Amino acid sequence: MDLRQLDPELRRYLRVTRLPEVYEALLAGLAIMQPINPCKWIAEKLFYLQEVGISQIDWDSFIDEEMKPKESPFAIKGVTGLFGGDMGQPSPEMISRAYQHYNRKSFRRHFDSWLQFHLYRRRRLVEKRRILAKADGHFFQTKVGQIFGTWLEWTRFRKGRQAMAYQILQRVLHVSVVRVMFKAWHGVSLEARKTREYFERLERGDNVTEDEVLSKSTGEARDDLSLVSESLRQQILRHLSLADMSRAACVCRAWKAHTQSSELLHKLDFGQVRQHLTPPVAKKFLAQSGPMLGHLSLAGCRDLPLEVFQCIGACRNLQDVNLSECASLTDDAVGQIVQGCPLLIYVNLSFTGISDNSLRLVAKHAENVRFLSLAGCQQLSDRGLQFLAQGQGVHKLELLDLSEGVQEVASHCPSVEHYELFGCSSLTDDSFRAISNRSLRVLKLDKNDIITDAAFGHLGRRCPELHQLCVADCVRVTDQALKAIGQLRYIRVLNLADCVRLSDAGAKSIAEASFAQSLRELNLTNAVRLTDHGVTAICKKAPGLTHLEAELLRESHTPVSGLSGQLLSGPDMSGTGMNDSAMSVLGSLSRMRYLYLANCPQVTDLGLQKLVQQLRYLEHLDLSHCVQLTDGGVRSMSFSCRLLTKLSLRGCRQLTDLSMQYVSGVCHYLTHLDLSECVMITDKSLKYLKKACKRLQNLQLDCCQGISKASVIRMTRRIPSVTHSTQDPLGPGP
Amino acid sequence: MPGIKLLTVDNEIVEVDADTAKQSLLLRSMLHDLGVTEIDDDEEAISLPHVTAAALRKAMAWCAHHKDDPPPPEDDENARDLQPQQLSSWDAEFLRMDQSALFELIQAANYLDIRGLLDTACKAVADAIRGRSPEEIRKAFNIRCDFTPQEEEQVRRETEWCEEK
Repeated sequence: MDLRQLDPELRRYLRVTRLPEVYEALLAGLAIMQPINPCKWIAEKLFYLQEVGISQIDWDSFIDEEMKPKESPFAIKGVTGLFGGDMGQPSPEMISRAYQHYNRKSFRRHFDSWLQFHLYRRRRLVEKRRILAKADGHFFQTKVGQIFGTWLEWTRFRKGRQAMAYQILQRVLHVSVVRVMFKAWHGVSLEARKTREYFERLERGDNVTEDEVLSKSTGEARDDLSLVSESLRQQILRHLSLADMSRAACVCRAWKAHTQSSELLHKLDFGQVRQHLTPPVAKKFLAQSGPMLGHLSLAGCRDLPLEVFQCIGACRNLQDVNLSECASLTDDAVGQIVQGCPLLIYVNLSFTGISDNSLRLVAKHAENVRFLSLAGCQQLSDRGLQFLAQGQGVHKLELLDLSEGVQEVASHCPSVEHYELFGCSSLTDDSFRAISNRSLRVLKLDKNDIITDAAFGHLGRRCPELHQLCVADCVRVTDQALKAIGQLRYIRVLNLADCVRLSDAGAKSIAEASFAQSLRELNLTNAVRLTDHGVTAICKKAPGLTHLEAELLRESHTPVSGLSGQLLSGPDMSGTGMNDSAMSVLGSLSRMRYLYLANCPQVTDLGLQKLVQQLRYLEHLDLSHCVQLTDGGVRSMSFSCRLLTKLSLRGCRQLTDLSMQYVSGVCHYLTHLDLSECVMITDKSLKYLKKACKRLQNLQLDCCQGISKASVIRMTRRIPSVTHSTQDPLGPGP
Repeated sequence: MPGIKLLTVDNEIVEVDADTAKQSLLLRSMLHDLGVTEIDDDEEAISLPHVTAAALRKAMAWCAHHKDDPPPPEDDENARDLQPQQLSSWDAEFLRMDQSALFELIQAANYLDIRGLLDTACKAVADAIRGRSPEEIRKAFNIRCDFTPQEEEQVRRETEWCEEK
């Protein structure tokens, strides 16, 4: 049996108790000694063993010394072999198992420790990365912080510099603005001082001898007119009358050539020189122009013979002829002209003695006529207009200015754009219907008490292109009429003077009409029912209004502040109770050019001074019968308004020669001056005016007792129109 | 308000208000063609080869004053029968300058195509001629009479009809 298969507990027990060695020793003793009584021997030996102790046993311990064999009788380790003599020696399997076991153990241990190590390394690595990232972030932040700090500092620096530069620039700007202002102010104040000194000298009574140099010589001997281009030169010379042109021709050879250029011969206006015109001169000019002549005006040349008109007939290319007020014009002459000039487009025959026969000739020959004016031709009848309407030529007619028989013409000339019907008191609503056509642009008539609102209904429906509408003094027109034309979009000029039935409702219609935005001129004079509210409403809705005539300020002064600043012409304040405070409000319309304050007895010097302070551009000023005005007021007025061209001081009886000295010292552009009924004015005033106001064209001196006939006659040499009388002005003097 | 820069013939850059400058048809069409709406600082100056700086400034001052004027009548037909209009007193005051400057202004107005100014300035020159004797005109315009006595006599005879009797 093999003890190796035994239970390990049992084997331990066997080894500790050494039972196999005991059995071997017993067996070996028995075998060698061979006692007679074995049992007794065994018992003796076991007692002995008990005494000696089990540890001393050996295989031959029970054999006597003399009998002890050299070797055990059991060849192969006997019992001990049976029990596995090599009890301490492991078998190869065990060794291999043990080895495997150890190997596995050691492998696991190594693996474990390697794993530990590996995990440790990994943790270290992760940790390291984390720290690195953190360091990177920190580094980045620090760097950004640094850069930002630097940038901030730089920006502050730049900002500082910019602010400094801004301040410098602003200072420079202020300085230059101040300089410009100062310069302008200096100029103005110099001039003002000059004027004031002039006034002061006047008041001291010093004799003023002022020679104004009208044209300063440039010192260069060059002829500018000959240096500019041909077309510009013609544009300049075109403004001259024939008389001036003839004088200019005497200047030098070059100028003579300039004045005789063919372009200038294109247009001859004898109307301006009618006092000097003689038939031979007219004939000479007409012959010179010949086929070059395009425009001819003989307006107001009353006594020309037939030969002159025959000469006109020879100018084949004439397009525009104005024979207005040629009293000597006959039907024959008209015939000569229209036969000789087939290209005529504009024909003005107004205020002449022609008869129906002329119209027959015009209708027959003048095929291209588009504008024909027959105003004031007393001898014309409807028959003549019938000729005109039936004629071949006149279908192109666009403008017809005549007095009667409109309806007939209108029905045959559908494209007339422009009607002037002054004095047509017999027009009816049906006539309006006839003349209303799509292309009508301008319609003017006056003094008609037949047409009613229905006529305006026709206009509103059928004339979308209407630009100008003048219906002055048509008493049957009411607010409804304005409502009827409310949808027209292009009306720019609206004249409703003396239409006495209009009221605030009509004004409201105007304010709400489609044309309110484009309205430029509005005349509502003498519409007595109209109140300030209506006018204010219009002013609010019509921003482009530049001319307004209306009754205002009978009672209140409020609407003045509602007027728009664009107004060039102030509302006509004549005959109102304007007082000084209203004047100062009016004075704020600084663009105003025309102002009428006639018959305002409450206006004083102070009010005038307040008014004119800002009205530097005032051109027309009417102060007639403002009886409180004195020289002081005229002084402040002339001081501010240097650009006056028309001035009326009629009936300002307190004015003396000093006023005229003020006016003549400053207002060099005066063309019209009315000094009638200024009883204290003497010849001295005329002397001042003659010297300073060289543009004066019209001077009225009615009822001026202080002015002598002789000086008036001297004045007439310079001034085209002077009226004078020495009657006693009506009414009590101051 | 936007401004535009103009380079004048005497190499000066004048900055003018665009709205004012648009009264000049030349500048208006130029601005329109270039499509200039906003003016940059580095925008190149528009070169005006026939206009001096002084004349340009004067012209622009005129335009600024007449900016809000009602437009002139579109068709000459309506205006043609009217008497030649007097210069407004503002214009007369404005154009009180020596002859050569006035002609410079006329040329500038012509080139820039500002009709109103051209017309006004031409009227001003015509005013200087109007109503004066030949001798006065020569003095005003610095002109030497280059007629021979015979010629002068002949011219005088031709034009004596207009002299006051």
